[in-house]
Amino acid sequence: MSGDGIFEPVRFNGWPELKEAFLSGYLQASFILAPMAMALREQGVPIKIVYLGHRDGTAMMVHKDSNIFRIQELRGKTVAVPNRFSNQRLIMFRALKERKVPIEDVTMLEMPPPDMPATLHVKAVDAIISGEPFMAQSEMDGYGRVLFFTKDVWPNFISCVLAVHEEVIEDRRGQVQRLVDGIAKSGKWLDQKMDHRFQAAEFSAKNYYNQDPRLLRFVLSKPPDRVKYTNLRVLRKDFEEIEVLGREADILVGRAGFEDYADPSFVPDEAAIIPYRWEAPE
Amino acid sequence: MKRLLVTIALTWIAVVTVLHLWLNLGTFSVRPGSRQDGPAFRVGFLPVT
Repeated sequence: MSGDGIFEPVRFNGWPELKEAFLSGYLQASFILAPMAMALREQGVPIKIVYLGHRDGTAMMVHKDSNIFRIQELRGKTVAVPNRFSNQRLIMFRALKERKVPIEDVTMLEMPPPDMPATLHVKAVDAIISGEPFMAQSEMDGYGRVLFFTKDVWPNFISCVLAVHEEVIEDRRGQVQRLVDGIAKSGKWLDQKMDHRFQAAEFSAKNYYNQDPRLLRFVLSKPPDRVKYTNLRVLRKDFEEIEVLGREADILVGRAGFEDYADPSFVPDEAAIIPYRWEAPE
Repeated sequence: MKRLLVTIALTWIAVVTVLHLWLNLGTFSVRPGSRQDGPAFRVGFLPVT
């Protein structure tokens, strides 16, 4: 799959495969889990986080027949998480800690997000937490119930970030800036009005996600702030919060600071971003 | 016999090379904005927020 411009999107179905392709240099840049990018930098991989992919866009689902109605009722239960280095796992740490539930009292099982809805459907796990559209899929299909949206537990939650090899930043800075600017302008276009979100759902479902457009329209509208595509700045306070939780969760050791893993120099002025002027053909 | 084997070997190498250039490196791709316009800039993603 490739775009018509200089950028070639490459889709993966699992985080381990994406990570390996990124490490090998096959990918010049990647949307990647924020804690995973930070851990790679701690391990000496020369990458920088230059922008965010989105904010929020994660939910925890339980089976509609489940007797779990509050986060503290996850004690003694099994929850599927996308990856050890996911912010979804960190939000479990944060939410359980705030409710004085020891993390050891909840079993977390790593699972690729596409596999989670089926696993919940057959009740092989008690809850699933991941990005969309897989959480919404269980809701739309009638067997999943939202336990919480991350926007309600961790406002402006960061899941995926845009990471770029340092060598690419040095040698192809202009192209990296074009990529960031394109994401910023696309995000403003998406958040401009609901019709734009529906147009994006149609296009993305067929060309990139290989999903039912109805599912993406559901994700982008119910509720409207389920996932947001503006305010994608790389901010120190957001990442230092992830650093603290990452150390508590034993996935970060504190060897890399914000200046090591982040490069906010590409972030455009939010007020100056002009959304793309594009409408889907009739 | 020796000449035949050498010919087969060279032909095999040529075919594999062409296939590699075409399928793996996109050398003969005619898509607009393809690799012929410069080095690739691949951006990985999972179809998940």
